[in-house]
Amino acid sequence: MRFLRGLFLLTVFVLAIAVGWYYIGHRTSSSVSNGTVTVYYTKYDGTTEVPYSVTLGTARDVQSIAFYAATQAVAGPPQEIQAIRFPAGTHLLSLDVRDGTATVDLSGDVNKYGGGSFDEAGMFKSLVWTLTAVHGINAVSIRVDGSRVATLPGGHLELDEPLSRSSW
Amino acid sequence: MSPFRVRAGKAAAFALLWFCSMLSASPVNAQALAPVPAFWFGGTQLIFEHPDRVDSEIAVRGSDPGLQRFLARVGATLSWEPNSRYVVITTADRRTLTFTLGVPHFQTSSGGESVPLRAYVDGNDVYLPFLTLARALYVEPIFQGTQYVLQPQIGALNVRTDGRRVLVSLVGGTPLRFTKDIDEPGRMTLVFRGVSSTLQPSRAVDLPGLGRIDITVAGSSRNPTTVVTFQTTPGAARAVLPSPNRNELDLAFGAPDVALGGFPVPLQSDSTPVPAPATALATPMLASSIPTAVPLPDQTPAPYVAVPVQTPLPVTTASVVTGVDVENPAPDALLIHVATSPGVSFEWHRLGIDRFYVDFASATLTSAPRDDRPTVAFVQSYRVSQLQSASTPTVRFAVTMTPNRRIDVLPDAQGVTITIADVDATGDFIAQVGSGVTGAGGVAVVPTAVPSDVTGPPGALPPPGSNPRLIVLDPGHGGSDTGAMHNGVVEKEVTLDIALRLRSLLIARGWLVRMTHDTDRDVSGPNASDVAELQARVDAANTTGARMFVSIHANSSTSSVPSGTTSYYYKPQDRPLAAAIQARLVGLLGTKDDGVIRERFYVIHRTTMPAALIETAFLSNAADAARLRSPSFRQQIAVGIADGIKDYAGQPASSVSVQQGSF
Repeated sequence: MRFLRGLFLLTVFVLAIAVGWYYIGHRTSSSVSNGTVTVYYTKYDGTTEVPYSVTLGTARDVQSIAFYAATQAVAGPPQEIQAIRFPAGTHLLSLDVRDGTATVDLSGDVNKYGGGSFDEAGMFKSLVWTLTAVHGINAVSIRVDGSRVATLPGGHLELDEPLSRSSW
Repeated sequence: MSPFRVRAGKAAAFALLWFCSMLSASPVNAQALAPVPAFWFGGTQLIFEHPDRVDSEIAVRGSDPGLQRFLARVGATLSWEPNSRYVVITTADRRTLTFTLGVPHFQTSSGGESVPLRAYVDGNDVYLPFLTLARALYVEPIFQGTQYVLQPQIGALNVRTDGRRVLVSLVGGTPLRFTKDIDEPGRMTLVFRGVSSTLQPSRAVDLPGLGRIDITVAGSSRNPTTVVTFQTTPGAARAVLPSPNRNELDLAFGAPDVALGGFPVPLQSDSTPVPAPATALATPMLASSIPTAVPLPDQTPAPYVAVPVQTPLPVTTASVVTGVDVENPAPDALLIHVATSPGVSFEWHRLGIDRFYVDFASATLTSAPRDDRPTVAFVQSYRVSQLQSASTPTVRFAVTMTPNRRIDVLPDAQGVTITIADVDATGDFIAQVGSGVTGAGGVAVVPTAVPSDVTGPPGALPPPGSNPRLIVLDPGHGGSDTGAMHNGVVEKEVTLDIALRLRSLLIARGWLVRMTHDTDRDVSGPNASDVAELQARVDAANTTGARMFVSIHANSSTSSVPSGTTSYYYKPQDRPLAAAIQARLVGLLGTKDDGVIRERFYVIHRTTMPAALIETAFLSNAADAARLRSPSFRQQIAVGIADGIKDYAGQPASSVSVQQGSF
């Protein structure tokens, strides 16, 4: 009786570990290796994307990884690196991944990009490159302060349809 | 012949100029050998290298340093392409003056005027009637015995209202500096010294804030004074507004509680000229200061290229008009083809809003006269007849239509095709006068014949390129959208200036040009959404079957480091257009080559014809911004884009097929 109870507990324990292993293994994005994610920044030539490895926190699901990577892309690289940056104060309000498309809701600070197509194109290219590096995301849809936008104010780049790497 | 200067007395100047005109005599102007008098302008003598006196005019070579200096002083630029029949002068107040070789008149955006001397080509350069040109630039040549004094005038007085304010602009042949003489509740008087006026002595305005404007001229012809009195409603507010160019003074009037913008009218606009540095940074287009308060340095003369003419001018032989064909290819369009022999000069006029005629000069009608009524409702009748009253035989084609229809006139190898479209073309974008010559490669000068604010008929769009001679230019931003602003430069002002310069160049090369906007305004309306604004620009190209679309911008970044020129495309097949423009621009400007880049920019994605978006240079980079402030740099940008278009598309199509055609 005592033996049976021990066997039962052991089975439950082993099953729990197996299920847990399976679950964790399957929710981890394959682009994440060694607990890092790749964030891209656009160089001052306006086109070249430079990859940076950024250490991840504990979460390993696509949504969390994407949010973390996009936050890093919007925050910009360390100050000493010359790269196109989002306007100061721009941050993510939300990020939602559905059917391979990440819908990124940016704070209205993004509208203060200054009117130049150089910054405008460079910052969105960096965001799209970063998010589409996350396994399971192949397009990025932009919202500003919760609303769909066709372009930024005085903007050039089309934002009414999702952007992907093939947009460039 | 090398340039020479005359520093001796008047007699020596006389003798040398006369001698020089003898040397440059040619078959074209063999009758013209009277001595050429001296010209004085603003206290200095203007010396022309090869002037010719022809009857009552003085012919001056286009590349003459004297003429270039004069044009720079009045803020105008001249462009002429060898082989082109059109010499285009862009003025400080952004008017376009077009001289057609061999045609006895010139055109402005608002109409035309006859000239006693036709522009002509001799050797490797073009000759223009200088006295006429000076007058058109608001500088009156006053003959005094042996010499001309070139006297700047106030040549235009425009009054308009935007509902709240009455906006008055005065345009002169010189920067308009004033002293304020009287500033009372019901009256303000500004005194302009050294400036005369060709304006009517009184102009009734009768709008809230401003009742009447009176203009009196006093003093001598060498030192005149113009007094402009504004009769305002008692207590009306008044202000000076930033002006787009240095020869223009913009004022606003309104009820006391109306916010006028601008600055209070100063007691005196600064009249101490500041010596101009060689590379002038201050230009008239900056809105950051009161325009009249800053004496602006002379502009660098615009680039001017004079190379040998390869083909002689067409020689008119027996000019005949052989008949008229009328087609009704679509319910909203009537196509009238007037068949002529090649080389017939024609001139068209719009009378009021519902009549239009084309005169074929020195021509004989070889078919029976016609007076017909077409099947379309928007054209009442058309007639073709030999004019009995004219001194030279003239064939006239005349149309009566419903008001405000759009008309395009395009010459081709067989005559002239006149298109009347059932489109409401209300507004001041309809040219009143135009001219051209029939024959292979014949082109018409239609400075503003293509309305820039009219979208085509709803429904099916014409195929891209079905108007193979039409290029749509889109000056980036405008109106409520300033675009980027850095280092004292506003993107919408730079882009409009470059686009207007480019328009002149393209017209001179035989293209028809439509602008998405040719004044500082929103294209779709001040309260429209950003996307509606961009779509309106796309529509300007898509609804007209344009051959090409070029959007002109100035770049910026939050960093001051990036600099240079970039040409963008989106549709893969458009890359050659962007690449051709980019190659010419970086070659000519010496800016950093930032490459030909693909970006999903709205206007180049949604236009159906080859499209490029040009970021000329960076406003946020101090060196680039300083260059963008220079008119000669902006002219070079226009030349670079025009050359790129030429590399990509060659010359404009010589004949026009209105229904068919794609590439």
